[in-house]
Amino acid sequence: MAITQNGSKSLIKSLFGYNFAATAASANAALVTGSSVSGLTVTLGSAQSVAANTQVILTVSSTTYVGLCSAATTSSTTLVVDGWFTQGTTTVTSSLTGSALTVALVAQPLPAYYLGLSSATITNYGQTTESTFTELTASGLGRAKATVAVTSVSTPTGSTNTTSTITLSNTWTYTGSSAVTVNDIAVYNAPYVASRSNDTMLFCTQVASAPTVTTNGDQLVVTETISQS
Amino acid sequence: MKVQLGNPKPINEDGLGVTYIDFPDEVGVADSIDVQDAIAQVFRGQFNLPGSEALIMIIAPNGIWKSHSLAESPSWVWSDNEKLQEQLSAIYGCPVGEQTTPEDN
Repeated sequence: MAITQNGSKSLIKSLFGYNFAATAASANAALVTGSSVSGLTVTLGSAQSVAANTQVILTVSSTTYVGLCSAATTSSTTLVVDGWFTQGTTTVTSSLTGSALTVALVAQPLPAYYLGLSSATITNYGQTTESTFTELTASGLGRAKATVAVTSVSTPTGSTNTTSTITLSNTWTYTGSSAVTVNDIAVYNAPYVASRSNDTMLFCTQVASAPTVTTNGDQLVVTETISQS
Repeated sequence: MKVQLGNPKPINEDGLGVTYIDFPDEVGVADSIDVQDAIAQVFRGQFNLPGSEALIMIIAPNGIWKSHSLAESPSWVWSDNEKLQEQLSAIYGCPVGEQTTPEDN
């Protein structure tokens, strides 16, 4: 998910469902070749009609970036995203350059995020991928869709909004009987190509207090703050 | 399910704000809660309020409100779920407000 100061209105709209009339009822994907990216603008190899909030996925220098299309286009070879999310980090960037790319365009009814918990401690968060992150799937602590919260603040001029804090959070209810320690949390985006059933991990961080859940019925709250750049 | 909280002291920003929260449909809201018990659980930082996942995510010490505001309580609350709206108003001791959009803020 892209998060930028200048794109905050669009972002908040997309997160909170105010403008989904033009989006597809079900997810569908397209691959476009012969493209380039400069900053937040993607140049496609062929003209496409793209709905707002469509996920745009591309790889530059072996790193996969995910963004959301800021505005709908009609038969256009360019589109603009509101930022680039990178696997293995909590930072969103607007600086990206690449050429001769394959771009995946994935329409979606709603942007969705999932949080996953792990009992294992990750040693290198920047390089964590799904294969190195072992989720807790027993006792009700598996991956779950996240709640998204955004604070919007009126500027002194009253003309624009800024987005100060964006968080993803969830609460898990432990249904097991033995102790379990939660060390890491992963954030996943929605499924990103039609042929895959799993998600892509956006980043992984250590839970601040590494809580131990011990008794039946304990509820664990995890809130992840997303940074901006 | 949507919740809005009037935010008198947003973190890292000057001015008044609104915190917009969008819960997945499957997140639970209890029909009723013991408000005093819920507040006590906030101080303990350990929750056992089955069916109140939405409430817990907002009021927990490491939850949404503390991640978005330096103020102890919202200045107002609104939700499209009347039960959750009532519970938040009771716990924070603040009035129910009018729904806003980011453009209005």
